[in-house]
Amino acid sequence: MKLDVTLHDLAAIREFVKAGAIKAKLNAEKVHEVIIAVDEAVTNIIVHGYKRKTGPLEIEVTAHKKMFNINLRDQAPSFNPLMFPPPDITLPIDKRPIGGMGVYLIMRAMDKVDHRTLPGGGNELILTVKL
Amino acid sequence: MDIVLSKVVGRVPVTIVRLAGSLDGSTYDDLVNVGIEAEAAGATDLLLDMRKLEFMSSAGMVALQMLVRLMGGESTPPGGGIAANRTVLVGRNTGELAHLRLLGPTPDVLRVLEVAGLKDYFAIYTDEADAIASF
Repeated sequence: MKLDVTLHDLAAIREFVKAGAIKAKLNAEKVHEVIIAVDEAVTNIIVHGYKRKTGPLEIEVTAHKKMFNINLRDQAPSFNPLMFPPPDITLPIDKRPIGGMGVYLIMRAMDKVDHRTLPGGGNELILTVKL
Repeated sequence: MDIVLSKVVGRVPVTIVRLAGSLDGSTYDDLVNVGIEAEAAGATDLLLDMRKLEFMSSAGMVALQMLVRLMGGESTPPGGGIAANRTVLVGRNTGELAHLRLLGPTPDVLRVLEVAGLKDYFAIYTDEADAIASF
């Protein structure tokens, strides 16, 4: 799936990834976790990478050797979401800073998350869950 | 996402915000803005009807945090507009959870709240009449 992405594409992206996850025979709970992780990752790309403007995004979904992978390739400035410090989830909601939960949800949902800066510029985020 | 507002009077007036669809990065602003407008119109207690909410991401939790601060804090400045009031809310660091309650979140939405460590902070109801009477 290739598109010039905006926040309004999130629903279509979730449907695309959901179809791949179901085809790979992930169970319903894991399908939802994968959808959450991709939604959070794509939202970060748009909000932080493209500063809420549109930009190119390529999404590849593959199942291979008992691994389900989602590769997200953008052309935003190099941005590694894994460098975000984890939020303090012991703080009550009324005392927490606003936001900052997206990467935490990705890490909780996935078995493995990798980031690399692409040679020609841009980023690739690789989300992996075991089948 | 569809948002429908209604008002009922139990022991106190309760504003019911019914959500349908997806609460994500493209829609959470709509919910925050509805909350700001409701508060400006005098709402002090919100019941968030999540029975038809199919999906919620961390952006939805941002909206919940904003609503907690909106309902629990001082009134937002009159005439400030939505953008100014959003800034006021982000700057707050307290709120009263008692003024925001949840009705019927789906298992998927509950799981997101649970993973984020937020589920236990909310009063969550499955029956609308019970939820209204609880305020």
